[in-house]
Amino acid sequence: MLVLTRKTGEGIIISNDIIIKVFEIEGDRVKIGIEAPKTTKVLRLELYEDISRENKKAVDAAKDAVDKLFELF
Amino acid sequence: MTIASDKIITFTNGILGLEQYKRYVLLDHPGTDVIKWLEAVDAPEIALPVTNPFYFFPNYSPKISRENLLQIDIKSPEEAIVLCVLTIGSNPKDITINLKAPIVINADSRLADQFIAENPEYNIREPLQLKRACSDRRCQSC
Repeated sequence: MLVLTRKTGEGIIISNDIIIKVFEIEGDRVKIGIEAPKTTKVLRLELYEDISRENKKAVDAAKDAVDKLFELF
Repeated sequence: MTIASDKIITFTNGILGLEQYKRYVLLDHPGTDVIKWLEAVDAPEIALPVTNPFYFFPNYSPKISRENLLQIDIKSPEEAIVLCVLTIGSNPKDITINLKAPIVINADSRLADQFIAENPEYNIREPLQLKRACSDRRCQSC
């Protein structure tokens, strides 16, 4: 992973059309601004990771688990 | 297995965490029309149980931006098929539905993607009463 040091008001640009700026630093919180094309997905990493994990867990549910569900009826 | 190309659903970005798989088919589960399987064409071991969330949550209305929907050529809600992923626990009574990240399919072009609903009230792991919804449906057809 590329690691850069930036100050308040500074930013980075990724592949010509994504700009990330540091707006404010307060204690352990950083306020960042993101300018990206509307088609670019921007997500909080922990939300992305949580949903990814849940999708993988759903895959692991074997087909016979669904059969068992209907035995409950 | 050969699949008619008009049955293939193509994800523009991919299901989160499974972005390497773009092409899926929607398969029935024997004995029910409530649960279906979204199975990767190139890796049949990748299959997610999905359901129509409106069976269980009739007022479900995920907020997804216009720009996102335009990526799969959806201009009005009636063009969309909405499905939610089910997670079945080791005890099959423990079943949850992901209301936060619905899968939206363009019924006509079969383009699809998994989007994040902006609704703060929707959970990734919402407990689901499968039995109740199924018996309700049975009553409707009586």
